[in-house]
Amino acid sequence: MYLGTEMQALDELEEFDYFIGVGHNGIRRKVYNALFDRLGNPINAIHPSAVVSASVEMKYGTMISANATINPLVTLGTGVICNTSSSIDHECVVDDFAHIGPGAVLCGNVKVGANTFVGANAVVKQGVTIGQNVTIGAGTVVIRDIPDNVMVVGNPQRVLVKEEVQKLAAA
Amino acid sequence: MKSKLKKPVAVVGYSGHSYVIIDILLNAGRMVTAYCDSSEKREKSLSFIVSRH
Repeated sequence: MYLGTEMQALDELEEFDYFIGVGHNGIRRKVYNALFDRLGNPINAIHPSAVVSASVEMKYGTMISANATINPLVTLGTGVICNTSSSIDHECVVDDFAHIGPGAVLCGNVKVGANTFVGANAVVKQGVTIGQNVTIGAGTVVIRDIPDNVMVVGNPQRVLVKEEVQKLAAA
Repeated sequence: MKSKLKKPVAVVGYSGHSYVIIDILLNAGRMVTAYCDSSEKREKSLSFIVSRH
């Protein structure tokens, strides 16, 4: 059943549990902020084939896809996406509205900032801290900390300069 | 007494990513019966996705 846009359907949405099915981190956060006051928190969506340690601390609106593994003492913020077959090891902290792509691996004690996107099959070495609003390209191998608001690619990682990012965006 | 019956689920946003969400929720035993988006989707409708499950 189509309800209209989320803002048109606020009254009807009160009769439902809801989940924000938006992959883009910024838009997902915006929709959450628009709905939270009226509807409260969204539910979590966890595939039965995912392995999630009982000690994981999870907020709301988190998606854990098929075959993902979330190991002990991990903390997941609101609106986090742990995509298909991603692996998040012990004591990692993934902040709000971050997206861990398909097959990506976070080794132990990794910190991922809010709104950050970790591309498919990227690997992040243990103990690394990644800033907010970072984009990590598919297959990137991250071995050092990453500051806020940058795009990184490659093995080992390198930060793309502004011109390279613009070129990618135009492609 | 509080009901133990879970409410049906509405998905906000309806595209490729939400098809995965719907599949996860159905596999987890939830009923997905509604969606919100900027327009009604005729192709790959919710009833189509749910009926294929």
